[in-house]
Amino acid sequence: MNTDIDLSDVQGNILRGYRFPDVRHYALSVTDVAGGKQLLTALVDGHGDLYPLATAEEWSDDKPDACVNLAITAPGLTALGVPDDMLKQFPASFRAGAAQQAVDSAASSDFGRNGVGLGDIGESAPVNWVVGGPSNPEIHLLVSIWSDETSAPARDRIEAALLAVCAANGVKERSRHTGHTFANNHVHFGFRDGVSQPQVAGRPGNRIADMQPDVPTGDFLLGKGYRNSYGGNFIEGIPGELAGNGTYAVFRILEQDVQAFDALIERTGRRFGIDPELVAAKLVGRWRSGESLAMRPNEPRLFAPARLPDGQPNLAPDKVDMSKPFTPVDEAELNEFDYAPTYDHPMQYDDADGLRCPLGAHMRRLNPRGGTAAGIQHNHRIIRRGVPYGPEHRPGDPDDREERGLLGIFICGDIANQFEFLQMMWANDDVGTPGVLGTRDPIIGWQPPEGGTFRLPTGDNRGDVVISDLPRLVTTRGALYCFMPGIAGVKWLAGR
Amino acid sequence: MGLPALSDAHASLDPTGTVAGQWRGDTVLPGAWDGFSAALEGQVQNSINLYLPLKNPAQAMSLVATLKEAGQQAHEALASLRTVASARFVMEPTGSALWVMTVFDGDMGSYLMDFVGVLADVFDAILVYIDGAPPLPVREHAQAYVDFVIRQSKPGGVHSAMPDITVMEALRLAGRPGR
Ligand code: HEM
Repeated sequence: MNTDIDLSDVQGNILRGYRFPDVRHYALSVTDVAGGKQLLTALVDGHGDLYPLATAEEWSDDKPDACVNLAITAPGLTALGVPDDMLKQFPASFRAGAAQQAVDSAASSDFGRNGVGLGDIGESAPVNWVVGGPSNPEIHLLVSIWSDETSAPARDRIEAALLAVCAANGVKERSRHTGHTFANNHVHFGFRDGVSQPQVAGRPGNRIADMQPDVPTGDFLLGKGYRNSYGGNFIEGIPGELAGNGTYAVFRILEQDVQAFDALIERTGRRFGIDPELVAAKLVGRWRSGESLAMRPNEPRLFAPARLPDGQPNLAPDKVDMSKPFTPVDEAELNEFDYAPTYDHPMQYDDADGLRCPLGAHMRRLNPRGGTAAGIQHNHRIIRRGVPYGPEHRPGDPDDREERGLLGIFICGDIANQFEFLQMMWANDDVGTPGVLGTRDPIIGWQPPEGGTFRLPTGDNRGDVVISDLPRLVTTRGALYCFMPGIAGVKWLAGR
Repeated sequence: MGLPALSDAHASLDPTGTVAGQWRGDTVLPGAWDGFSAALEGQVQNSINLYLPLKNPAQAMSLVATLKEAGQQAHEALASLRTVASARFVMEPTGSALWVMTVFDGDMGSYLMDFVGVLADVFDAILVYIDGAPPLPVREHAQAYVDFVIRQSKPGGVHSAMPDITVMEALRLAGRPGR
């Protein structure tokens, strides 16, 4: 089993995040094969101000001021001259694409399908999408430029060079999606994000304290003799020259209803006499500071007080209430927990009933860790590289009617077994796990018009507090299923 | 008309409605059979009735011996998934086909890969006897295996006395929630 990764062949931001707060995603269409290949060549080699694709190699001196990535849709592979019989070797979900899978997964009620599927129905249906839907232009490539405030000039130069290469080669920009992370990696709804990520076997960098085992390399990278959680390799019949060290990226534009979230935690708090901040934490599984309920069930360790003296939730570290004692978040404990004792960690608190972290909380549904879950343990992991879009909203701010949400990037070695499994089964269905039957993920799940259900066990004489008016908080506004080739794969595509 | 002879009764249970062993899984099922289901709307259990025609019925006993050998391993593997309520292997009396019938919680497509993870060796051992088997080993060709199982699965929803109790819930109620 190979875990020896040629880091110079793997695109950046997969095994390790760039931690750049700014991103621009360019959704592009190729109009002729030769032109598309020219763009690929410019992307691997660099071209004037256009930086070559970033890799997973260690940064030698300073952090670069910007990084570039490339992802290709199934129609994009065809547009770049990949013949049909080769394309057929790619998994069915990827070939069908996000919009088709949304429709098909919801249409079937066979074999346990519940008619919701990926949840892209109603407002979220592909017909309403701004990218990737049936009424949008066919997208072939997604090029991303990652940067930060200080490197805006570099980013603008890269962008100008990229668009010039596109224009010279008949590649059309169809849409552009710009995102920006808020202070301390906060996203809309007011939580710190990007705290838990799979640690892929063979990745560079230090191990982050985490009770979970490393994830097999083959769950994220194709070919090269890696093994996945099932003992095989997701490359199957795809030529190694094309797919070796490649992976898949699901791009999803997820609009967030921040007003509805604020109202939900306030209303629930009032109705059941629970601090709204605790309600918020119970829905996600972490406090806004990123601290887990599993470790800090009663209150966060107070990176900053959850609420300011005026009652507003406190998101900014500069607003620490100095009148109360506070301690910074203990970064080492953020992932050093489990929901159940295991052979490796027998002293871990057994939260089988969800008294600390409800079984239905977003992060527990989507990664039950060592807690009991149906199927193979520690499976269906996913790398998340999402960045918010739209102006920052502080809880309690008035409704400015601006659209905001998450430009989600979900990276995995198999879309069906990882992204789609999470979205379809653990978020929108999950009949296997006790305690969540008939409910859906409170953050990303589809909810019925009469309101969805969330069970919040209290452990006192109130028993389970049942929230039964969950609105749908997240609406899908667009999606693309992409393949992210390794560097050699991009060269191979460009040179064929 | 009297009761059909036993052999005829068996033939009429065969999905083709013709003679056991003739059907190879590539014909469209009669509509009436397609709609057959004892499952309740919204019940957590689903079933797979996997029809595996043998290459040669003369090998039926050898396949049965293989299954017996794999019995304990299959048992432990299925238990580890905590989604399979019951599973059984049934050989056609004529030796023409093996039926693998499982009752499980949730969505078939999603959990089939878990079967690859824990039962690939057992499936490899079975599939060498099977006509039209996908490429082996299963681990190396998981996608072809999943397609094959979906193609070879015959409908027929299962009745459950506990339509809203999953395997995990049942284990919990029985006081055996751990792994
Ligand atoms: C707008 C939509 C979303 C929001 C606001 C959101 C928010 C969050 C937050 C605040 C966390 C906790 C921080 C952390 O552990 O890093 C988290 C964790 C997580 N989310 Fe989401 N999320 C969204 C969409 C999704 C989607 C679509 C998926 C996958 C289908 C997903 C999968 C996960 C996973 C796997 C974790 C980590 C769980 C763990 O490893 O313990 N999220 N999310």
